[in-house]
This record gives sequence, structure tokens and C-alpha cells, in this order.
Amino acid sequence: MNKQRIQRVLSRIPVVLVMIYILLPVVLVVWMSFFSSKMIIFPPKGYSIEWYLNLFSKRNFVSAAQLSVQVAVIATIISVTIGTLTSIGLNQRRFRGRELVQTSFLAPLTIPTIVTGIAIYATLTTIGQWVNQKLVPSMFVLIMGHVIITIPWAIRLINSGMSGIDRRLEEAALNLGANRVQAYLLVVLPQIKSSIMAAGIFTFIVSFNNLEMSLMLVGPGQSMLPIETLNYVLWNMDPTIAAISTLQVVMVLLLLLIVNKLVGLSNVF
Amino acid sequence: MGQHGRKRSYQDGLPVAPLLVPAALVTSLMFLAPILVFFRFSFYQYVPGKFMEPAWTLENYLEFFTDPYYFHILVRTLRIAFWATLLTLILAFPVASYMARTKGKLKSFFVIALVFPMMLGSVIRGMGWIGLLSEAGLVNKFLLQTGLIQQSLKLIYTENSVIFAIVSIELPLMILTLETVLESIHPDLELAARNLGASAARTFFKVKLPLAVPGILAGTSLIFVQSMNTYSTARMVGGPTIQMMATSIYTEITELSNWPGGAAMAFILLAITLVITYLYSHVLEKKYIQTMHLS
Repeated sequence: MNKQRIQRVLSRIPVVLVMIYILLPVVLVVWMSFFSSKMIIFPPKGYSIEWYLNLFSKRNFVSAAQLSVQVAVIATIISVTIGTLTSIGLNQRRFRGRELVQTSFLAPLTIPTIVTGIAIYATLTTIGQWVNQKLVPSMFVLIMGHVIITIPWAIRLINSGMSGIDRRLEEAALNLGANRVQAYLLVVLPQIKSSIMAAGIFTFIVSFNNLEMSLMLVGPGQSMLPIETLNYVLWNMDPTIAAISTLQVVMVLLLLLIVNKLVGLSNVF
Repeated sequence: MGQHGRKRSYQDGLPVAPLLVPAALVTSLMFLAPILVFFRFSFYQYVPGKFMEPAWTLENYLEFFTDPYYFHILVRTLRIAFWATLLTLILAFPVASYMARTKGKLKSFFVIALVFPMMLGSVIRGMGWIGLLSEAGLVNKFLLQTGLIQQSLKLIYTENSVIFAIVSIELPLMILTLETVLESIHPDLELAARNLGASAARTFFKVKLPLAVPGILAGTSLIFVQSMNTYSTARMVGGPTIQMMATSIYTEITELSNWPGGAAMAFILLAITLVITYLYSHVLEKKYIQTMHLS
């Protein structure tokens, strides 16, 4: 009995070690944001929250964060709208090539985002030269670039919520005299409301944290949070940048807890 | 309404095509078309100082395979992806099998703890790895303090540091993929093997592992492609010395303005990724099915 107990505890050691390996870098960033010294020195000389208080004086980070939020919100609205329409279309009935259509919408996930970004930039620059119009960089293309990488998430999440609903309710609505569109708006959509919200949160996070697409498509003099963070960290690592990142860590964690309440994260993954 | 009416209401649903148009439009205009145009650019002539010089030439591809500098980057990318995938698989297994047996609160704790770093973005996690591995980083300081080393080790900007960082980043996805498959294996199968006298190791290799093969195949091919495509981790943890395909495509285009060369590299990376995943899934899956029939 005792031996079994010991064996059970021993068998959990690898699990704990692997979880530490996964989470340690994130925990370290949060820890470093509270160091009192201007440079990061281990072990810390003391702790302080002054870096959090000074954040808003970092003008370039504030404007980068603003642009990131702006792009992420618009991209999310577009992706979720398109994702909902697509999921409704895909779930109407079985049709030939349904699988193919579905996988082709997920294709952007298989190509390195940096390559897609470069390809969009190169193509639109060339077209712009033909028509004598500057197409990139522009806010519209930047947002659409983000839509391309968030659409697969929106379709996947809403589609899985859609396939789980009871089709008989829709039929009942139709039999009771509702037309197709009414049946969708009043009966089907409310049933997938939480999937749509979960999709919205996921697409927001994916867009907000994206580096590769923005690198190519952001305008001169503009920056977004991941780009600004990368450029900063490559030269100096200090508690200020750790504090900026910690705020994002907290934001992502809170958003995921909301998704977990809405649809249950284990149903999504 | 009778059987006939019910059937009709299914078939008369909203027209499918118009609902799919927005997604098809965005995907073709912002993804398919640019990728095809970019493919065409890979046959253009590279003229320093010029953006695009139309031509039909294989120069860019030949240059890549004949110049040892570029070829080494490809070999390094493949090597990093291989080791990262293997390590991820080995480390993911214990966590996935543990998770497959948990339920309720504990399980949702694990799912959140895994999805959370996955959604964080690689820049923040890369920052954590810099804090851990740099010259004055936590690992070096710890080893110096405990007297295990006298001088700081060069941990960051090495191939190994890139591999370790990629493994940590890819582990959650591998664990979640494996867990779904392991969960579907009935626990009685393992118990039966043990009761019939098989050792724990034998049970693992003869019962659990073969049944987990579909999950292993799906997970490893996913992780391999993602590791091949690594960008920000390579840049942050690999530094200027450890160039991988994605980072050097970016350098080629933004610093050298060699658009055709960068395009050729992008399609070499893409072609290799596609060939490997195709061979991998087809050859391995066939082999796996054969052994299943033989035994």
C-alpha cells in the first residue's frame, strides 16, 4: 500500500516538472516586473511597483497599444461576422466539396505568417504601382491581414458550437410560421451566442498578440505592441518592459477565464 | 407535418453559396492571390536596388542550393525542428496521460494552465527565455551562486536554447492533442495487460503507445511544421547567429531588398514542409496500419 503511494507520487514528478517548464518563462516575466532596480539583476535587491506607475509616460508604448487594440477590435468584428456566416453556410446541408471548402479556409494557418505578410505587401505594392495608388501600408490592409489570420479561429470555434445545437428547434420555428431568416436570427443565433463570444475573445487575443503580420504591414512611424516590445527587448531588458508584458498576461488570463465560463475551454481544445 | 415536410425543410435551407462568399473573397484576395503572385516573383531577376525585375529564371532557387550559407540555414532549420518535435513528444506524454485520467476541477485547471501560455504570443514568452538564459540571467546566476560553475555559460544565442524555447512553446498544443486520443483509450485495457502479467513498461509499449499512434502522428506533424516556421523565438533566443528559414527570409527582404531571393526561400520552405508532412502521414500511417494487421 505504502509502496503504491510512493509510486503514485513519483509518477507525478515529471508532470509537475513539465508544467514548470511551460509556465516558468511567463512567471519570470511577472516576477521581473516587480524588481526595484532599474536593471534586472538576480536575485532582486528589493521590490517596487513604480514601473507600473510610470507606464503611461512611455508614449511610444501607449500609442502602440492603442493601435493594437484598434486593429484587434475591428479585425475581431469582421472575423466573427464572416465566421458566423460561414458556419451557417457550412451547416445548411451536406454538399459536395464541403470538407475542401472548410480546409481551404484554414489554410492560412499552415504558411508562416511572416511569408503571408511579405506576399501581401509585395503583391499590393506591385498593383499599387500599376494603378498609381499607394495601397500598402494602409490601415485597411493591416486590418485585413489580421482578419486572414483570425478567420480560421472564428470559423473553427463557431462551427463547433453550431454542430452541437438541436436542429429540431429551428424546424419547430419554421413549422410555427417563422421564415428562414427569422428562424436563424431568433432561434439559431441565440443558441450559439456563447460560441460567438468565445470566438470573439480568441480572435481578439490572436490579433492583439500577432507580431509577424504586423511587422510587414504597419505604416512608417506607426508601431504595435508586439513589435515595440520585440525591438525594445532585443536591446535592453528591464522591469518596465516586464510590467507592460505583465499587463498583457493578466488581460489574456482574464479573457480566457471568461471563455472558460462561457463554453468551457476543454470543449474548445 | 409528415416525413416529407421535414425532409423538405432541411433541403430548402438558406442558399449556401452567398453565405460562403465573404470568407471565400477574403481568403482569395488576401491569401491565395498574394501567395500565387509571390510565387511568380520567385522567378524574377534580382537587380540590387530595384524592387521587381520581371523575368523567368531559376537563378534564385539555384543560388539557394549552391550557396552554403543558405543551405546551412535550411539544414539547421530542419535539425532544430526535428529535435524540438522529438523532445516535445517525449515530454508531452506523461502530462497528457495524467490529464487523460483527471476529471472536473483539476482537469479544467490543467486546460487553462496550458491554453493560457499558448495564447500569450511568443514575444512575451521569448522575453521570459531571455531572462532565464542570458549572461546575467536566472540560470547562470543560480549556477554561479551555488558554485556549480565559476564562469557564466553561454546559454542564449545557441541552437540548443532555440530548441528548448520552441519545446516549451509547443508543449501545450502537443499535450492537448495527445490527451484527446489517450482519453479515448479505455483504462481497463491497461489494467487487463497488467493483470495478465505484463510489466508496466511492456504495458506502455505494447498497449498504450500503439493505441496513441494517431494522436502522436497528428501532434508531431503539427509541431514539426510550426517549428520549421518559427520566427520570433528564433530572433529573440537565437539572436543574429542562429538564423532559421523564417528569420532569414525576413532579413533577405527587409535588409537586402532581395525580393525574388526571399520569395524563392519562402517557397522552398513551403515545399519542404508540404513534402515532409505528406510523406510522414502517408508512409507512417500505412506502416502503422500494416503492423496493426500483422500483430
